[in-house]
Amino acid sequence: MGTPLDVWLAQTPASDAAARQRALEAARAELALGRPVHSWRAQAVGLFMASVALTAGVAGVLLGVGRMSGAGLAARAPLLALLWACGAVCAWGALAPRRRGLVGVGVVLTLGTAATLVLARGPGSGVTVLPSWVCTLGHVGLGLVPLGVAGALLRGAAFRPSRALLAGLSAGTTGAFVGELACTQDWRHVLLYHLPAWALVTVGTLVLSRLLVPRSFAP
Amino acid sequence: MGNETDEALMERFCDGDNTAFEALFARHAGRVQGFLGRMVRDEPLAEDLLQTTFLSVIRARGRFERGTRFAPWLLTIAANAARDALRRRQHAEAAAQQRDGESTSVEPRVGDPGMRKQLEDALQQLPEDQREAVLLNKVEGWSFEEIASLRGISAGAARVRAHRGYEKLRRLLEAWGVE
Repeated sequence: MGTPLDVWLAQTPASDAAARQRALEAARAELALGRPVHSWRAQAVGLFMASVALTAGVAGVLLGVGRMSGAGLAARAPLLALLWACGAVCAWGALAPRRRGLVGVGVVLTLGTAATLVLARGPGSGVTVLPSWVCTLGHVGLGLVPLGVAGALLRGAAFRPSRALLAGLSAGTTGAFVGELACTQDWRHVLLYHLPAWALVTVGTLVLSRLLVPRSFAP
Repeated sequence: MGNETDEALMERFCDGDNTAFEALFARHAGRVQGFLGRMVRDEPLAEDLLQTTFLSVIRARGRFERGTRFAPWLLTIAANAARDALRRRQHAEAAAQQRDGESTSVEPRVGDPGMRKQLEDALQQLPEDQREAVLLNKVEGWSFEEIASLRGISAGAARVRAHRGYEKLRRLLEAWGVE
């Protein structure tokens, strides 16, 4: 203390009681709306469940119309479980207020999962008449639902790129999951048409989250 | 309610007791107002941000983690809101500058009466992250670890930000003949 700088920094600035009163009135009006408030854990589960519901629904339809057998589903179960685990970790990391370590875990898990999808695919087992980009389109299209959910949930906190990145990676698992169920092409196709779609969903979530005006600036 | 800790009040608020929110507002609104006033130095904007901060507390109470301290959480919200507003203002000013083709950079107004005004001017000359670090450390009494946690940086980096900001303030004020 002693220099004008230290003295000034230690001073309490003049406060405006009328401004505080107006802020309190605004807060009371918000409280009067009685909007439900969910914990971040419930939100993270919601983001993950949006993806799970969609993938389970598509799997049910594919089984129902005979495009896939129960044995085929069981054979792919470890990969599908890995995708769900990846989606869950990324959703948790995206919405957790702290736990920044989860960013690294989520990214590494996603890279590992993506590599596993490519390596596990092999030479391909089916013939398709559809162009390859249809898979990319389908992957991105399926990701739009969880992407929308992620955008809405991310508005509840201050923008942080790492958070949006994880939410995007989580949303992208939806298309990857359905790709595993419905696509029979080889590993090159996964590398060139599915993984870029996953990246596109992630970038889309990042951009959406950056553009949306936050409802809250909580950490 | 007077003896209750902030954290106990926040827990009651999270459980649905709105009177606990009012108690928290009464305790902290002045401090938040002072912090925001120094961060943005624009009264109408600071008032907007005060509202935004407490609206954020209401809307994001589900993100408050029981067992953590309330005041740093609240000031983190205020700092995030101020940063966002300053960033938007910078973009708007840059766009206006491009349109007008003229510089709007603020030169130190050495001729302004009063040291307080010069000190406030000097503070506004600091980069946003340094200003925030100086205010949180020197005014709010935050540790470097707390600032580091707020911004996701190391405690050493937070110390460097605050130190550089403080030194820059001193140099500016020396140049203006205040120190």
